[in-house]
Amino acid sequence: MLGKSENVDKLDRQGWSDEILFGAARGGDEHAFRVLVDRHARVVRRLALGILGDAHEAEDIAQEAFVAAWRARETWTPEARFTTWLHRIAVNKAIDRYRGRRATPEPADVITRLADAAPAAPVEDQQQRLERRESARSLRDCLRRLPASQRQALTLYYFEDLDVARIAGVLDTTEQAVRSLLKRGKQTLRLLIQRQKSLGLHGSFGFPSTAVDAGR
Amino acid sequence: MDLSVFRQRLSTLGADIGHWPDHEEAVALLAVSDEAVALLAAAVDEGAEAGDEPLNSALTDAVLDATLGRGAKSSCAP
Repeated sequence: MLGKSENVDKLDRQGWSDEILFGAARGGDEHAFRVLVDRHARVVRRLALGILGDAHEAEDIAQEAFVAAWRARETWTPEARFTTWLHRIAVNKAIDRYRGRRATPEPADVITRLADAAPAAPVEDQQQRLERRESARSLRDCLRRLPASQRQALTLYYFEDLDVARIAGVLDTTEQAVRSLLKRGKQTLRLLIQRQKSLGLHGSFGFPSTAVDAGR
Repeated sequence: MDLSVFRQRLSTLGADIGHWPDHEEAVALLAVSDEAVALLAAAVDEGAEAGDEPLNSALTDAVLDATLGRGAKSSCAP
């Protein structure tokens, strides 16, 4: 809860540009920095969320970005646009976190989405859940090995539920080309899955065998 | 991914790049292109006005605590 005089101080500064506010903050104006944080925290957090896909991590990154900007305040020059500088700091921090996390084998959101797409038995025991997760992991591995155009088409079709016309717009190609990509993508995916099965790798592939064979 | 594709994704799929089919390529572009960051920030800003979740005021407080110190808040009080 802000005190009355603090509210007045904040209101005084609402009309200031970012650059004037940060210049004032560098000079010790705490209210100016608070106004800047209030003004930009939402976008900074959303930038991080887009990269990381996790609200809690995005909140962490937003906080880290402002702290880093404050610590580096002497390096900012008034000729540079404040938001360009701040957003770059935030995006770099989010990308660092993202790349560090990719070394971790199980991004929970991807696995959850893939696993949720798999038709599951009404009641699963722990073993079934583990097998389903394993299948989802295997599917993800197979998808990653597809050519980029096939992977993009399949992802948009199955996970974003876009129709062929929409996918053609996104990929800047024709509907016929999208149908061809989907067809070849499914064939390639099926081959990759069969190869993994023959090697005895991973689970039962409930999603791909069912979904691909069903034509969607 | 180049900037023209990035622009097209923004206009067709929106600013939530987590749902783009080529998310990793988009992240790679963001790492090197200030223009891509600016485009995304502008799109995010527009989307935020349309219906973003409210900003957690704890975030602002945490930032101020970490930068100006806890005394900063109380020193502003009357």
